[in-house]
Amino acid sequence: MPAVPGTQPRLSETAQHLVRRFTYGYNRRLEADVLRHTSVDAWLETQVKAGPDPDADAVLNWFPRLKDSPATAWENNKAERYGGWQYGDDLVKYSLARRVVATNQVHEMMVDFWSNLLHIPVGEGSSFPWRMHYDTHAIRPHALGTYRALLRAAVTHPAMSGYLSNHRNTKTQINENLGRELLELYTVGRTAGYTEDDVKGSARLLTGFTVGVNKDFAAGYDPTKHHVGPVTVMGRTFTNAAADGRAELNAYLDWLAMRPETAARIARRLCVRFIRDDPPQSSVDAVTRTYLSSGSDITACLRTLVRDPGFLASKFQKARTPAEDVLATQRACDIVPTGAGPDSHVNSFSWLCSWIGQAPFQWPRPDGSPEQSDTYLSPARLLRGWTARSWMANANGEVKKGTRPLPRDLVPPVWPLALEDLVHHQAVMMTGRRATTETVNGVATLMAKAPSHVFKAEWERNEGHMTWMLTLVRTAILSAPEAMLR
Amino acid sequence: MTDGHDASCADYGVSRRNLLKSAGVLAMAGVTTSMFGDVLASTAYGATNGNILIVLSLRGGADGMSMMVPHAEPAYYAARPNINVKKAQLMGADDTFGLHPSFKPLEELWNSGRMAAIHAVGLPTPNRSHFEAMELVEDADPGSSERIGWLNRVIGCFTSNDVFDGIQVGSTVMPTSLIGPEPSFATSDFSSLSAPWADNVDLGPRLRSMLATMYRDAGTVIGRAGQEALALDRRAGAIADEEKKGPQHGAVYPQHNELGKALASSAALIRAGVGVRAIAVDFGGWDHHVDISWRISSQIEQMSKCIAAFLTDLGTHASRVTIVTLSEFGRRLGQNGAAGLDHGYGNAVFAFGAGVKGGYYANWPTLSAGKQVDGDLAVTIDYRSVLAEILETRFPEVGVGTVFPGLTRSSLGFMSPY
Repeated sequence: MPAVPGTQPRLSETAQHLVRRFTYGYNRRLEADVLRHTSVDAWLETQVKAGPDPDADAVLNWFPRLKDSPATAWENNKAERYGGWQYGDDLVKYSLARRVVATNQVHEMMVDFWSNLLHIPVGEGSSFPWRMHYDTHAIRPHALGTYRALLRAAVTHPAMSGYLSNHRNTKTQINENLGRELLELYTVGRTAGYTEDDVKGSARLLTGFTVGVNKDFAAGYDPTKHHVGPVTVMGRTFTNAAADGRAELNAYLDWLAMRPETAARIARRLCVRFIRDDPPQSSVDAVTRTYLSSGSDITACLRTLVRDPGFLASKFQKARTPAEDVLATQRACDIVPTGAGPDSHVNSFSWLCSWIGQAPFQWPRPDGSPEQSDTYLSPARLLRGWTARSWMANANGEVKKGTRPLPRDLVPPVWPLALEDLVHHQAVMMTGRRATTETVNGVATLMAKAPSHVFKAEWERNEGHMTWMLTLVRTAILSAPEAMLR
Repeated sequence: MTDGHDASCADYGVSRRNLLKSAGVLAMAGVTTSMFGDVLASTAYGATNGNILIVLSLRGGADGMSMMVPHAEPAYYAARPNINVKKAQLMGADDTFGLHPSFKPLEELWNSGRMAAIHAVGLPTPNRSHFEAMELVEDADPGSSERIGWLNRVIGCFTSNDVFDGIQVGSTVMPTSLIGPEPSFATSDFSSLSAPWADNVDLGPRLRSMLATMYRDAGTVIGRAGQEALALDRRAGAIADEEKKGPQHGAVYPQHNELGKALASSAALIRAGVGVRAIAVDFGGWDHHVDISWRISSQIEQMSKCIAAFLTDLGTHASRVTIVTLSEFGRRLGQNGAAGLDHGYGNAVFAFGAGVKGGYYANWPTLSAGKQVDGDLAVTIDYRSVLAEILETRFPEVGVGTVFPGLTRSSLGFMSPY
């Protein structure tokens, strides 16, 4: 029998690995995008430039309330027209839908990464009116820029001030909350050995920012609340002589961003996300060096990372988080949302993520949800994950406000059709790879047929029957261990 | 942080509720979230009879002085002219304390010496932020940046290392007490913890067979997780079957009450005999800045009815179950302008059930002006000491020093030696 079209991978192993790590999952659209480039490296260069992405930007139109100003959002919440939780819910769905449809996958991935490092839960009472603005003005513009600029934008943002009490941090009454997290989570880390006095100094440099939390949420800077006078943090003294302390704060943040301890922490976090839960120290060191020599250039760090031997040797060594899992499964099935609203398919994204173990943007503490993927590998998650896959694999499932391929377009135009060819055809379509022997045998088990079965009887060609066979094949491919890994 | 109590409270009200609503949980009823922090004995399906800890988190800062009323203190009545509870109304009053009359559904428990009331408990240093205080309470590891919840450390002490590990029920927002390296998970019911097509007599077994083969040789982490999942699938069915039977022994939970639902689920989990060790349940709605009198009366009554029903529902299993309440802080001594109470400090803790020696316990600091901390009841008992005493007496295999690093304490005596 001649080779059935669509049963061989079109990307190299290396390209598949890079794409698995830096996108929300394989589909035919992604494959075509990569193939438009001369190499996967060229594709990555296009990706880190993150040009216009009209498909992703259109998603914002499905959630018109996300365009509300902070003042409007607060008024709507007070009047119980639209609650803070609803704004949060919209932001979750917006972000997840973007990740499914975006062409700029690497940008979306890095927005996700930095949102988690500089985490502010959505719907949180002291920050929700500003939370969308935080996404659009602090995180997205800097996600592929420098960490130095990102840190400034995030730490001085009204959402951060509200969430970590900096609006209540004044020269007369220091609130250490943000000053501490700045050192502990966002820059040097506890192992840098700073003291309680350093934390207080850090907080003093942060005084002056105002947010009318639970009043009007107006944000500004009030020099009369700023602590003036020398402040020492980790051995460095800031004269802090001006009434307006923002210039000195920026100097402090820049200094923190470029500390070697910060470089090593950010590099490790990148390596944990993109290499392994326990990345090789040599990989971390290489990214640290690039971070320091490039002035915290995030794109430069990513280039170093993907060329590192540790990265290349880490294929299938990260488990997908529940959110990555849901999105990758959606993409594998080529389910594309086209709108939001009651009963829309988009609603199932966040619900499914939560249901299998990770509510996106809702980690209840400032440290962000764990980057270690094995955290999410509880047996209960696997059970729920398999069940969710069996739903999404249903080749005939209804998708409201969204599209999915017609079953007849999923079957290779070949008859008779060997079971094995059907499985490889589906696997290449959904994952870019041929199925393993275990998966082929698994499909045979599920269908109660021999692996050598050939579909040739006319009734087997019947659309209803073939749709059911496709559902079983897809369930098996999506439930295989490698589909849980990236 | 003397300013902005109202603001920080509104933060709390909005934020927690918002998080929960967006997670699809109804917050209006009693329970805001509930989660199960449980570990099953490794292979002893249906055979285990170990002790069980229920941690009931009264989120919002419950007013301990309304629950365990210091009726002998003139300062109490002076500071709360409109919202005090009169001595004559109190249940089981002694010379110093008495219980709020809404504890009535637990009167038999109290009279039979299975309910302990412990006062002036709290964090070693005052913290009146819901967020920060709850995080401190649930981490229970001051000075550390590890951010590992104390219940997670308890789980880590069990040697069973079984598939259930930590499970949160009712919400997917993980409580900080359970966060840590030991696996934890969110679920709302047990019937959903089975493999796909579980009810299909043809496909169900074939799918399980396929998964068993695929994951058997899949390598360390993912392969093991897959095999444990198939083991969980077998047991979750038994729990779901138990759940379907409904409350037993004539237990009647209050209607439309989320705490009741969570405890009924917990009772089914315990009755199923699969080896659960610790369950934590969130019971919100205690942030009473306004009109505290009727609000807290209703809260205490609902809680008491639920606990009474739970202990009935458990039947003979009740002899294994100890319940403890925790709240992130107490409330001010003095009432505010809205007949409510703002955030304070020292608080009351209650323990019920197995191993509890009933009665009042306190190293009572009094409410005299010189003993107050910024106008609040002082703390004389570290809340970790309360938990440690329960762990030590009911879970000898748990290292108290591991769960609460650096804690120095003396015995409070509200638990019987095991």
